[in-house]
Amino acid sequence: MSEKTVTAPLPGLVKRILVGVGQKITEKLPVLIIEAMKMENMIYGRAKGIVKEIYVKEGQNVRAGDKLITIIVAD
Amino acid sequence: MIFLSSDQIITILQGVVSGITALSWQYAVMIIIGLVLIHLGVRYNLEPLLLVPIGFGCILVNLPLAGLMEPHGLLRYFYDAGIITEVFPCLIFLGVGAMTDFSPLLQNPRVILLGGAGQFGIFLTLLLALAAGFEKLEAVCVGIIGACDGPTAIYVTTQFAPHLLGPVSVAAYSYMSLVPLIQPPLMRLCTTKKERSMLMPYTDQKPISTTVKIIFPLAVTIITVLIAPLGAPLMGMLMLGNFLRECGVVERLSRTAQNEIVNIATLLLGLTIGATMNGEIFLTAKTLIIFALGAIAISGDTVAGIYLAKLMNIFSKEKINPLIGSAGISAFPMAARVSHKVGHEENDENYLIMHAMGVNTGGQIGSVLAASIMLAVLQAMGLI
Repeated sequence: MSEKTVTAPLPGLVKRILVGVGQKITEKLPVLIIEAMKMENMIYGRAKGIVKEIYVKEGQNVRAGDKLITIIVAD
Repeated sequence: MIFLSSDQIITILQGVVSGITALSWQYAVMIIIGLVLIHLGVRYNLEPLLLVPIGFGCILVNLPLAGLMEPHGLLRYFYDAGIITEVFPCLIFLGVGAMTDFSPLLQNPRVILLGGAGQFGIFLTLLLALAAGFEKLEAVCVGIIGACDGPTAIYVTTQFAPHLLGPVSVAAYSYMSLVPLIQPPLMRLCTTKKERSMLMPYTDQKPISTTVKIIFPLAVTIITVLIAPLGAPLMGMLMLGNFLRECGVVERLSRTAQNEIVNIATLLLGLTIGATMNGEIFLTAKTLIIFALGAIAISGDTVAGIYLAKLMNIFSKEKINPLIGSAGISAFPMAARVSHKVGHEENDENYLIMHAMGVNTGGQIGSVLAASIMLAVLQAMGLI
């Protein structure tokens, strides 16, 4: 079993977190929304597995490259 | 009892309905246009901050006998105070400067070239307008629609062809609000699927230092005004606004520039621009040609930006997604959002917004600089 960390592709405000720790997710499931320049951007986990850890809170500003969540990837 | 003769009654009735009888077809058409502008703003949320005051001003000025644009009319005062003197567009630039974060541009300074390419439409349209029989100075004002920048267009047109102010500024603002409709088809036409899907990772883990951000507006002001002195009011205000933002000690002034000043100036500018849309002046074949040329101007900007981006990719190792080239027009931040959206639709791992913002802010500097250079050329030719 491997782990995958999703990082912020762009700077902005974490508008909503759509998953919880322990939740099963799929590639196509958005995990959170980052608002940048008044645009909402869906961020996807791009892996099938279980959310292990969430590093950010709603309302928090993130920089591009900041860790968002870690997923335990199902084989 | 007062007895009125039938003649007197007719005179009184005529007085009451005089406004209605004076309503010519031109006025009526313009009132409908004003209502359409307001409808677009209110119902579809299309640039409401601009279209609502413009539409209302247009209605007011086309109600006969109200005389709001006559000498001593209310809107004439606004016009003389803020448009003729160019105070309103300059105040808007102060606010735009205070609202703009130039960091994405500073992180990747070479994209300012794309901001230059985004002005290509100005010069293309200038030539086309000359070919269409516009006088030289009028052609300049039609070309400036390609700056895709309301205040700049108003600034230039007021100086050289104030009689075209209505059509030129309304064309400029209309096309700015239509950027999300005009650009995407052109962008898809000029790029391949592979180009559009190209990923451009972004990092701001090493932020631009405060020193650089403070020096930037000062350096731009000094350099560009030395090159093109006639652009000093616009560039000076834009960069003063940005300096207020970045210097960190006048937070209050920066906030006032971003909110109160820009809001007041936008309201009065919009209303007064609407007031230049007098039916007898506006409803001419010239206006139609100006609108047609304006569309060409913005398309030219878009295409030039995309192709310059492709050209840069030939010479550079670090490839850029050509979609950000179209953000070189200064319509801010719509053009950047359009680049981002088109890129994201093609490949949902693609987040171009910050790169496109860099190009877009470069386009803002580019449009002011292009206008200033054009003024300098006209001065050198002895036309002004």
